[in-house]
Amino acid sequence: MVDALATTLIVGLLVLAGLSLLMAALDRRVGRLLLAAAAVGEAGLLVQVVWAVVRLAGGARPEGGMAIFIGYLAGSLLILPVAAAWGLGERSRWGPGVVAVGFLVMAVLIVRMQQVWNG
Amino acid sequence: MAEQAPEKTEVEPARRSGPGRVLIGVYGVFALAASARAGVQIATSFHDAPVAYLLSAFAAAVYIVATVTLARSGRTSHRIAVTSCTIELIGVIVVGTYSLADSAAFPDTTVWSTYGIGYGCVPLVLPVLGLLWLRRVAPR
Repeated sequence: MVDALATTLIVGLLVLAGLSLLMAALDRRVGRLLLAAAAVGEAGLLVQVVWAVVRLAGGARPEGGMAIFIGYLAGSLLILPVAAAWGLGERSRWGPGVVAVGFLVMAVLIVRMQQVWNG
Repeated sequence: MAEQAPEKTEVEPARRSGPGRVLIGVYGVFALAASARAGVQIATSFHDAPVAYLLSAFAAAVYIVATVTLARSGRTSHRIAVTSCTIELIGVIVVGTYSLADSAAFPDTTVWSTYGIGYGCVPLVLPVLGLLWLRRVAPR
C-alpha cells in the first residue's frame, strides 16, 4: 500500500478515537459529531479500498497473501458503520466508547494490512 | 434457540447496555477476526498445522456464541455466556502456556497462542471482563 495514505489514515483514526473517548469522558451520547467523524473515517477507508483495487487490477500483489488481504479490505468497510450503529443505540457515555473501539480497531487493521501488503 | 421466547418478558439488569455495549462490540470484532483467520487458514493451508487451525476454528465458535448470548436477554443466554467466557479463559491459558512450552506443536499461530499477544493480549483480558460483567448483571 501507499505508506503516506496508510499513515494518514492511522493518525486520523487515532485522532477520531481520541475525540470519541473525549465525548465519553464528557458524558455525551453518540450524536451528529461522532456520526460525522465515522463518515469521515469511512470515506478515508473507501479511498484506500479504491486505491488497493486499482493497484491489484494493475497487477500488484500483496506479499502476505491475496485471500488475507482481500478479507481485510472487505472487512475494513464494515467495522465503522456497524460501530456507529451499535454506539447510536446506546443512550449513555458508553455509546461513544463503542465508536472509539471501532476507530481503534480500524487503526490496528490498517497496520495489519500494511504488513500483509509488504509481506 | 427457538424455545427462548418466554424469557424475554423476565425483568433482569440489561446485559447489553452500558459497559456491556462496548464488551459486545469487542467480542463481535473477535468473532469476526477469529472466524476470518480460521477460514483462511483451513482453506489455504490446513495440512500445515491441522491442530492449530482447528483450535482457531474452535476459538472462533466460542467468540460467536459469547457475542450472541451476551447480546440476548434471558437466563439461558446468561448461562451460555458464562460458560463460553469460562471456556475462553481456560482456552487462552492452556493454549497460551502450551504454545510457549512446545512451540513445535504450533508452527502457525492461533488467536490464543502466547496468551493472544498477537492481539495485544486482549484475548486474555476479554473473558475476565466478560465474567465480571456477567456477574454484575446476573438475573436474580
